[in-house]
Amino acid sequence: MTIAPPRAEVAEPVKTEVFTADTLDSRGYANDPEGVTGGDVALFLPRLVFTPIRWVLTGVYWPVRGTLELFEEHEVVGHVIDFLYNDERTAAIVPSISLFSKSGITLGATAFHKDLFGHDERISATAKFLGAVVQSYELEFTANHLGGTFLWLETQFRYDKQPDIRFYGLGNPPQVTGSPMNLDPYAANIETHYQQERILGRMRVGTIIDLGVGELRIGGSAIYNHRRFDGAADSAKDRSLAGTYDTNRLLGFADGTDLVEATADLILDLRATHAQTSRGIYLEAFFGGVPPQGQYDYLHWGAEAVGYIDLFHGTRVLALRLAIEAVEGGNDDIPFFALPSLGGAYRLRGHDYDAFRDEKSLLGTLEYHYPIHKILQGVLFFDAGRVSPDYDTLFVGGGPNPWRFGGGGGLILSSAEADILRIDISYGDGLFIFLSTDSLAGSYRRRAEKL
Amino acid sequence: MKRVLLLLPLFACASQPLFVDRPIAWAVSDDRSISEPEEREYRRYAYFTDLFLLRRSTRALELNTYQPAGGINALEEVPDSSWFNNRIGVRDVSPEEAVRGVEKNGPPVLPWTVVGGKYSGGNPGFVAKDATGRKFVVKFDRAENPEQQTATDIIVGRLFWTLGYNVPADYISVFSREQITMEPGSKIGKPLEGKVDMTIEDVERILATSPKRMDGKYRAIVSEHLPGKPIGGVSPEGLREDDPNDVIPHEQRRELRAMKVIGAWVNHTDMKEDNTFDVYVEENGKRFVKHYFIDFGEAFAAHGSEQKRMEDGYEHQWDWVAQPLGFFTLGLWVRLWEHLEQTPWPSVGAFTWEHFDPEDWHEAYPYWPIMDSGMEDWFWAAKLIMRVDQPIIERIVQEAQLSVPEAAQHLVTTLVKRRDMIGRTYIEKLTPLDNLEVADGKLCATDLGVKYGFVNQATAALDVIDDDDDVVSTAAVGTDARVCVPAPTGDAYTVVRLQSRRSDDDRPPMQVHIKGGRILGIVRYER
Repeated sequence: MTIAPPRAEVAEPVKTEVFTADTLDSRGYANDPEGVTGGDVALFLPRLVFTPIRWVLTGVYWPVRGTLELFEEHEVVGHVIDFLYNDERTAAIVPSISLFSKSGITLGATAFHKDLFGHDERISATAKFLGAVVQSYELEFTANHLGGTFLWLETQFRYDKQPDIRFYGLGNPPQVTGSPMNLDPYAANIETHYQQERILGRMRVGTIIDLGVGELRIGGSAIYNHRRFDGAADSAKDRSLAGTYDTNRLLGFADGTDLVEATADLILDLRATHAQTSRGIYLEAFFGGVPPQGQYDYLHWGAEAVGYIDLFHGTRVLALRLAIEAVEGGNDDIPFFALPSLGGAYRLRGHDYDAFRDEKSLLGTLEYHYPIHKILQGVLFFDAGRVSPDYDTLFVGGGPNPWRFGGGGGLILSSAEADILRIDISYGDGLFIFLSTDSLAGSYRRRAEKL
Repeated sequence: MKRVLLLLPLFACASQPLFVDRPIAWAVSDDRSISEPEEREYRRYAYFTDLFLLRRSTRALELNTYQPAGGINALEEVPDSSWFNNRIGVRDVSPEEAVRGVEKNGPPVLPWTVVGGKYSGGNPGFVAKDATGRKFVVKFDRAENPEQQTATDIIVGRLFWTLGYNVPADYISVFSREQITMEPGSKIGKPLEGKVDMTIEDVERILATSPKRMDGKYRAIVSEHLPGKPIGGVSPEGLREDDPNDVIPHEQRRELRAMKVIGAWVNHTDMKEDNTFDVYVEENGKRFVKHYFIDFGEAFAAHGSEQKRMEDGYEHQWDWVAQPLGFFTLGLWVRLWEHLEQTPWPSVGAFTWEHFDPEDWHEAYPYWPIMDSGMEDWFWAAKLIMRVDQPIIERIVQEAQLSVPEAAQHLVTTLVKRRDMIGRTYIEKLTPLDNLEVADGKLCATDLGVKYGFVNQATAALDVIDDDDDVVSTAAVGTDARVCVPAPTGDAYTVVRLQSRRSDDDRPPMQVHIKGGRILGIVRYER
């Protein structure tokens, strides 16, 4: 209960007559003491040099400022948001951009509704062009509690046409140069290019258990993949896969594949927040495989654990990641693209996408986040990974399956809810730049990209 | 003691300031009638882009050196004007006057009749008439921080008034939903829609975002409409071109430059054109522009709470020094604000004296008068706020009607401690003499460092020095902080150079210009 203080009438005292000066003469100088100072003399030349630069900048800024004023006067930003979003701000069309230095820029847009039936059911349609994909169209529906029930449901349907996928051989073969032909993929590593047309269908059903300190997701997935390949390179200057490697030794390449994979999935998410995560654990595992379909029959499993250690006040954070993925089957049972791979913006930075493929892969990451601004973090990272045909040589020893390393730094722009933009510069087998407005959270999403 | 004073002949040195023989100007005539100026529109995109990039870069390339403040008098004080009215700087202000002085018409009388909506600014609100027909802007606290912005606005507004600034009369008003009705035909400005008819649902929506008290009532800050015609904010640089009375570039006005110190005291980081207000008024038969500071609700730590920025008060929103440095030091540099913690009271936020460094305080949005300010400006501001004593602070904080006494006490303690930290920082940077007078052949002054206990009286002294900085004579400072040196006699124009001496070192010299036993002017800091 607050008590208002007693009130009393108080009047500002009336001022006695004071000497009033002209504003410019209030100081009452008899002379002009300002004059030219020593500093003015010393700065005369630099000022002279900077003057035309200032004029140029002012000339450049003038239209910028004018445009900004027009934007505000006509509420352009508001109109754009109003155009992109519905009145309730639950549905929108948002542009996306991603860049990988080896693939170029990919532009796209996603139309979504994030609360379709009133329980955060999200439906989206995405189209992407250029860069790593020449065309990609995707429909997706996700619901953590479909219609308010216990049901966790994810469905995805995607068509994409990729004109330029790089292929570097299988396993850990030595690098070769020149213009070789008919190479054994397990015997030689050389950058080649091929094309792929794909249709992906995926459904995951399960439930989410609220643990109080996080959540546990348990479910199962069924994934359909239709793939057709063309061994020709997209441009004349690129070396084609078909002209370089013996494609008969790349299982599934010649005729393409139509495969259904089924997995059991588990996700344990104990992160404190999903943006600028400062502490907690994220663990994901799946186990399943492709039941006999034609000549294909193999098991597929993987696990990834990320731990966030708060080094100081939740702003300096060390993230440790360990990821393993494996397929189990005979040599003639597993198509080449199903082999776990390393490389690219998420799995072994500093190397091209799918630079290394074999039956097993292991990846470790050390990533340090530090604050620059409320919405901007700096990142330093170091990745180490290897691929191997068996577990014995995956975990220990060197020999023919060397560890691959990559490191670098970057920036993450975040809102309170999510990371908005990430820029990484990494070095391993060359220098790579990666920029993306796509959500980076959740490796299971990335696995879906790779399916 | 050797009675030697340095007598400088008139015009001995071209850059030596000299004063005309006339009374000290304690007012300036910037209230001459003018024709009505245009309303100045605030364009925040362009404004912020200028602050952080465009004007910032061209300003940097101007390579400006310190420009002394304009519009000050011969004693380096700010005279009364349409910007500033000397109050506690020149006389005693009682705690009751500090609270009530700004109130011309007294608090509003319930109930409220809503006559319009308010969408601009951080918090939504409405415009309403009280039972007597007076118009007020009614604003609420944020749900996460009940009482914070309303209390802050009351306290800081009254502190600003006490210091001498023009501010609107703001009050705390507590009312129930039943005490709000709506006037037919009221309009509300909405994004993308412009002015549209306001409905009672609009009022409900505004109330829904506001915290309710335990008794189900709403607590709001209500700001009485200023008399006159609003003509927009005060540009932080240059002049209002259609106001012939506006002749001192705003970045050179001492009362605006003082925000470096006054802003630091109350952590008024939300310093921008939008929070200043020009009104075309008619007073004493003259029509001129009067300049106000408004919207203090985001001082203390409220702006930081709203923006979720602990660095508020420590770094600009985009800081060209701190943030690149943060990037390149890879997080090894722990910034001062990172040690800061929220107080237990949502009404206070992270406003504290701990980890406060007055010189390292930063407004959220670069404010040119602050960027151009210097030692003399900071000294003046520190001197001014040191006169705001604890009883005044306690009475003003009481007026904010905070429901948690500990929170109120914390505010009082913090304001007192931050005030003293500021005083200690800036007052002891120069020769801190005040209340200078010549009487009975002596030039006497108060040593503010001794008066406020920043230095031990026994170790303080005042030197008279010649133009080679050699000590001519020395006088001890009394227990009442007064110190006297011989005054020049005769009718010659004389410059006395004085330098406060401390046990550790000497303060920079200042000049007192005397003629015929009268002080014509001072130079606080010789550059």
